[in-house]
Amino acid sequence: MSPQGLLQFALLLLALALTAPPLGRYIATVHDHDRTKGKAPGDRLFRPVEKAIYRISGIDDTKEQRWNVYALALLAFSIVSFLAVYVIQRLQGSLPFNPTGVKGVNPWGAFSVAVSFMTNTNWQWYGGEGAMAHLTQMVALGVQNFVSCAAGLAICVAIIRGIARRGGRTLGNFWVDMVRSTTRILLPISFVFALALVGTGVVQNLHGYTKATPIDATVQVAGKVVSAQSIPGGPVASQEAIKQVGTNGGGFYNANSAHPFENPTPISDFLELYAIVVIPLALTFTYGSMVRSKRQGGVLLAVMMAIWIGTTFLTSFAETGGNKELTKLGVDQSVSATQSGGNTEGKETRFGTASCAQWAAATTGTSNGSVNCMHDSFTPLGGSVPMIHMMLGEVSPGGVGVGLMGVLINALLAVFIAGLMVGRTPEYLGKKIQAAEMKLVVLYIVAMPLALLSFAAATVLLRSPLHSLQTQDAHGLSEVLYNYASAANNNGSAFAYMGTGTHWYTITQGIAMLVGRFFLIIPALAIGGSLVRKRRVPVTSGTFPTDNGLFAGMLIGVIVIIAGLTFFPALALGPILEHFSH
Amino acid sequence: MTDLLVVLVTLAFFAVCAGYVHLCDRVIGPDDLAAAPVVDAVAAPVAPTTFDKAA
Repeated sequence: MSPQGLLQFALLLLALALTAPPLGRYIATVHDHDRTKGKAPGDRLFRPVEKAIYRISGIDDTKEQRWNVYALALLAFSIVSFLAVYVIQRLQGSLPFNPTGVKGVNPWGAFSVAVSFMTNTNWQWYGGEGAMAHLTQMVALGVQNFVSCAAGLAICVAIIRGIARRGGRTLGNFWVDMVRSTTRILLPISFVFALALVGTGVVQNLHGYTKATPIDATVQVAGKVVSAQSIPGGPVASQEAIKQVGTNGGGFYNANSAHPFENPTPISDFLELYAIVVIPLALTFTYGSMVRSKRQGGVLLAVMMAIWIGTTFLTSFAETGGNKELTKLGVDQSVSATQSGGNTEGKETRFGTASCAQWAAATTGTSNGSVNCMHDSFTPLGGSVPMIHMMLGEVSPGGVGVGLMGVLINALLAVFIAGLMVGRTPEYLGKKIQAAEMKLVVLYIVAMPLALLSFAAATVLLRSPLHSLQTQDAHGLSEVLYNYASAANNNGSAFAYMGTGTHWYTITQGIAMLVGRFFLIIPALAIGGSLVRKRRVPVTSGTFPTDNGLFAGMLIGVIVIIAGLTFFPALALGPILEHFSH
Repeated sequence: MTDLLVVLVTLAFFAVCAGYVHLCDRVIGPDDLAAAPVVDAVAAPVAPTTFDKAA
């Protein structure tokens, strides 16, 4: 990594070290009703708003739910979210706030977008500036950016309660957890970020296209002189803030965060990169606070950081090292005063190669999926790292809520394996891990690879979907694998060359997104529901400690080995073959 | 017509999810089962095996 890249990454870590712990503790005070009795900072401001929402919606905020009721509430909310986003897209041509006069989205395209934003994936087969009206961006997509993320956060705190509580039947109230996550965490942080982004030059208006005359009158496109430009406006900064804070990732513009109106300067780039990872990392402090053991949260933080920093340096190493094909052509790829150096194809010169690599690791380690450069232009090794990062299950540091959920499930598997080694019934924070929990862990772990590999295999077996690929070789397989890894992990980033606006991709990726969301959350919640009923057993000399470096190492091993055993054959035929064939 | 198909497909998926919730609930069993004392694998007496007897 270049010195400039190292400095930026060091500053990012410093900013996170200063802000993630207090943010995590604040999130704990918002959701740890057992300790705070429902009282939290900002009650005078937020409580009346929340009370009004409960009253209008008919929610009894004093009543807690068993895990299955909690899960059914999530499903009910998701159905309503899907229908709302779908209907708005279909009718947007006849609705207000449509200054560019875009038409309604076709049915399967609208299905893909509705599923994508409802599941926090934000996969986009379309270009936002050309396909979506401002009303759709604000009311459909923008609202989903908040509530899909809040739902993930709610699920996470419910599972933590399951681990932390000593006997009982309930995990909290889904509606209360979601409302409080939105009003007290996501809205205030997003508001501050939106203002900061506007300060760096991110667009925020309700304009349609602004006509402009280029200063350089000699510019030609397709042999014709460009005499006028149409510059799209819109409420971008407000969307951009929650897009990153909520690990959503769906861009207002087609080029996502590589677009100068979404991400104009290195400062906005740094702010957005910080926003992607701050809440997922803060949640480890929330966990430590809610289970009354900072060391337990520290172990999860160490695991997340080790994988995230490792993948960041691997991607940087691959991309700043240059491109062999460009070397053969004699292209200068060295770092100099006028260029960032390395493999600069598909990268923004205002950010540089190192920043792009850091972003790629952050966006795929979380469920964000936004991009500030084109991942399809990465070297085979550089492109494989973000792909593998997603295949690990997005646990480093993971999406808001669902990332911590994933690492906790892997922790249960790790203590089970440790229990087998020492010959005792495994325990995690004093709760016995038994057959029921392990069956649910298996259901959780199998769902994502099943969706990813099944659809990827079907795609390469069928002829027509292959026409969307750049090349029908190892790189083409990498494109297919990346796309379904992105969909099944609710990430949303893409190997952008691949055309995915066909029926095959919109429908299969939509199903992969649904499976990747709900077939993971349901067994995870069930594990919380099972654990909450158990009383804690006292720590004995035979208890395997889960708050030290040995367990952290074992947890990393479990995460890597599970993904390796599952995906290595497919990776060998894709990016690994491509790397060694050049 | 396609709109109806899209909505029906999505609702069918959520119906499967509701069934999945029920299945997971059966996996963890009734609440009173969880209150039963847990017998540790090491602490529990184990009947001698044929191998032990031979030794």
